[in-house]
Amino acid sequence: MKFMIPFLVAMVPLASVAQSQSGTAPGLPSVAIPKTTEVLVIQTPRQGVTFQQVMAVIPAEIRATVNLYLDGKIREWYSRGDGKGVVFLVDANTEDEARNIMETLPLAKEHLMDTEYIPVGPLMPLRALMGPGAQP
Amino acid sequence: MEQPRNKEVVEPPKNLATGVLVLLTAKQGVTREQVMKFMPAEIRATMRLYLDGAIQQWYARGDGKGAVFILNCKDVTEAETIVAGLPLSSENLLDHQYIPIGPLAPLGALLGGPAARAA
Repeated sequence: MKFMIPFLVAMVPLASVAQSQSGTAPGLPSVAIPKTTEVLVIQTPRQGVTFQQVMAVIPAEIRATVNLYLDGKIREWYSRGDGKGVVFLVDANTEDEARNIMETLPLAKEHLMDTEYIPVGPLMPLRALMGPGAQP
Repeated sequence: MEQPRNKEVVEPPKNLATGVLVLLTAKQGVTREQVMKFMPAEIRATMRLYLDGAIQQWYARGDGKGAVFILNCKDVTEAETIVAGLPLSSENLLDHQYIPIGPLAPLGALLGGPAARAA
């Protein structure tokens, strides 16, 4: 198992490592950080925003969302089971790219939603299962 | 699962859940050494969950702070049980966030009905 250590170190999620704008964590080898292949977007109505406020914009929101999907910008789309918004996986390589896409939507333009952006990519720890020859 | 309500309701309707989004991040104060100790076991256990069909999608976070899974389960309780069996979680080293997800319900308006007519 000793051979795994460099890879394992590389993928440790370290809360103490500050997030930089570029998405790389200082102190971690570059092998630790996945290439961002998509951005997870979690949208919930802002506190104080009523269901009726959201519903007033929903017809336009639906059409704009489907257009983004048809343009290939939205890879996956879900409603939250708790009724508190939506979850998208957006075809973007950076948080800013995803933000630029999402901010074209009517609910975002009306400032009715809180939005969390999480860039994601391949599950790098799996490299450890590849054996000693698995150099990137 | 609740029946769809009419548009007069003030509460957002509950939606069908077909999976659970799980956000895993290291707890504040947890050291690299603490995590490293359990990482080999964590990787193997994660792969087994995938092979069992419990993990539908898996991602590493681009900021290096953890992982994101979409689990094949119908509710958060079931997801919690699955994740609790992973070594880093059973050692209490991770923060977890669980979000049940399912079909994008508003798309139903494209089939017609009140919301579609409003558009």
